[in-house]
Amino acid sequence: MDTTTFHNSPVQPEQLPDLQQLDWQPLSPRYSRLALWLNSATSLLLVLLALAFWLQPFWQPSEPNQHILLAFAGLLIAGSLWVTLYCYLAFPRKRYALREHDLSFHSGLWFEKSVTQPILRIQHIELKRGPIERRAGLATLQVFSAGGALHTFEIPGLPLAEAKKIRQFILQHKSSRQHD
Amino acid sequence: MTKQSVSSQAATAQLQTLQQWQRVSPIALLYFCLRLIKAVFGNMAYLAPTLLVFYQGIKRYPGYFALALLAILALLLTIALLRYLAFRFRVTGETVEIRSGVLRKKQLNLPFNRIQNVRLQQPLYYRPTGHLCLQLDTAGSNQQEAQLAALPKALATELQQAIYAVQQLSPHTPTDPEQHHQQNAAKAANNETLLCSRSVGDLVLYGISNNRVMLALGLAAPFYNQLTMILGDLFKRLGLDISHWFNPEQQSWLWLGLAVLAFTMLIMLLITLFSIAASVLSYYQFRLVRSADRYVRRSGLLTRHEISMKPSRLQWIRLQQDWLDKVFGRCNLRYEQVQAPMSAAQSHAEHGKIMVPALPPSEAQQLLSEAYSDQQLPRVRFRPVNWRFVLPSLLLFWLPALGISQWALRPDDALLANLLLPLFVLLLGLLLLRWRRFGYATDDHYLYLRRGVIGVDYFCVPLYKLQQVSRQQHWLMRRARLRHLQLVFASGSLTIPYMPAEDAEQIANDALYQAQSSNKGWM
Repeated sequence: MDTTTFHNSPVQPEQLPDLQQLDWQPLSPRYSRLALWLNSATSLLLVLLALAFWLQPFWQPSEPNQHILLAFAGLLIAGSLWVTLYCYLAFPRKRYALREHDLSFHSGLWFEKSVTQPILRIQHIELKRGPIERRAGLATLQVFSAGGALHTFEIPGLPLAEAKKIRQFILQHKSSRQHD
Repeated sequence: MTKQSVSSQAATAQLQTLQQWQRVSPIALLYFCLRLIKAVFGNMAYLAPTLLVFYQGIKRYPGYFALALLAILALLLTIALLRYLAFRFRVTGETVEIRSGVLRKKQLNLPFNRIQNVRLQQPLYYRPTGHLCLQLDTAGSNQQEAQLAALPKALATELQQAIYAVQQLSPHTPTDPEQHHQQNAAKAANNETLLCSRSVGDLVLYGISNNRVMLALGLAAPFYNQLTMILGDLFKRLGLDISHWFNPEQQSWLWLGLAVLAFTMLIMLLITLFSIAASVLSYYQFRLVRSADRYVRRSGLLTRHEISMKPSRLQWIRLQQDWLDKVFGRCNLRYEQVQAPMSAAQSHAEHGKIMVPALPPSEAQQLLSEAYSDQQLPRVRFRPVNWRFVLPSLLLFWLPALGISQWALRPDDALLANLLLPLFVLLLGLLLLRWRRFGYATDDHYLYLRRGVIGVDYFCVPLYKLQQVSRQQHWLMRRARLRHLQLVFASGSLTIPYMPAEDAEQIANDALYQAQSSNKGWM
């Protein structure tokens, strides 16, 4: 028998862990601004390229091709506007939550998705930082489980210090569990 | 007992002989050759259409073609010989070391405890000399797979035992007293209990119900023209004028229909016979046994295969029933384990899995209960998903296809357009059936899932193996209080679409709770 005193304290159903009551944290505001900028820049670049192609004097497309090109350009502009609008609306809504035993990430505007990753099932962790993220002092936390590459859990747009803290939290969680 | 200890002593002495660098038995040369030929000509199937282009050329110069074929074979032989000579291995301490490669030298160090699975294979041509091919599987990174192509039988099984013995002592396995007891018992007497065996009759049923007629017909599509020409020639030589049967100007519609039907039946019969032969070849003398810490499957007519799996690596059990299985009242049971990320796409995907073919429901139930003693699959009541489940396929596929086909065909060919209508009704029926089939249920420890269209798949999944969970909804679903729930396991992911939000939340919470609190590993 165990020597410690036996506890059986009452538990209210509301106290049981519930994904509905996660304490969501926003990502760094720099992240959505950066995404918006990047997106506008690429869109602008694409539109400029299309414009350059339209105005170039070397090759004149024939009549039916012209219509197709025009439609294509229209689609391009509409698409980039749409993506920019989406960036503007959806990126600030991305959020994450930590609990003692799992990480969650929420994203999406009209198609919402929340993923929850139990820490116990994490196989390894990576901090990914592209050149632009490095400049902005941001990091992407990637977490791999045995669920396969398709289901890599990822929290983008974390301030570096925060990302490191979370990584530490996960590593300590794992080690403490294994010594149990 | 004494006999066994003597033999084990002899065997460890045998293992000592592996400490020097050495080649595998010369008979492996045959194995290398055949594997290479299989690799080259197996890919030929993809090249077949190009080969057709050269068909005329081949027909014109058959001599050159034969010469080229001979040259290729000779080249393959040489490569196989070089590979055989370059392949050396030794077993020192608890590591298998392999050096291989003709041009690019490779050295592989494989500690016993990194080896997840040892598969034994006996191709037909190894049987006279009593050799075995030993495949060593490692988890995850599948570049690290290795095989020892030919070892004498006693040595191979001894090596397998030695590897498994090290694994049992590895610190990763929890020191559960009961398990410990079992291990000791296992060492005292390597007892295996027979869980299931399959007779040839069962295999024939499996061959019939799981034949890939449609697939074979589809794959053969580029050859239809050639095939009909060859068949036509053949029949003409036999004095039958086939084209005459299928000519609508000379035959009545009824007769034409009968001829087409008979021809299709004949082809399907042939393919089914092939399928039966394949089934018997690979599952002959099927035995599923449970040793102290493993499921072991042995089968094969020409090549004897042995696959084993630790019960702890089992992620879920899946019962599969194709529509013909339903007719026969049989089902196939699959023990599904961790999927190596890369091998899923390859033909090797089947290797790690244990499948028991053509089980009557009672036996399937026994196997299921043996693996998961507290599961309640036969008793659970499946709950349906929302009717909106049919909407995406209805709106994105069915309706546009109907509209476009009618719009395009009706002005020119009203008859064809009308003929298509029943087809669309049938498709609609299948879509609705797929929705009615989809069901989910849970109890304290398991998630049960039923899905399929005409054939049915049942999943029995212990929730604590959960790797990740996600919930999705779009704004239309939010108003109807529905969710998609996706549960990710090491063997794949399961999605329950359009389910009531409360149920989704409850299952997600429950699964997370079980994964986090049970403290049981997933492998």
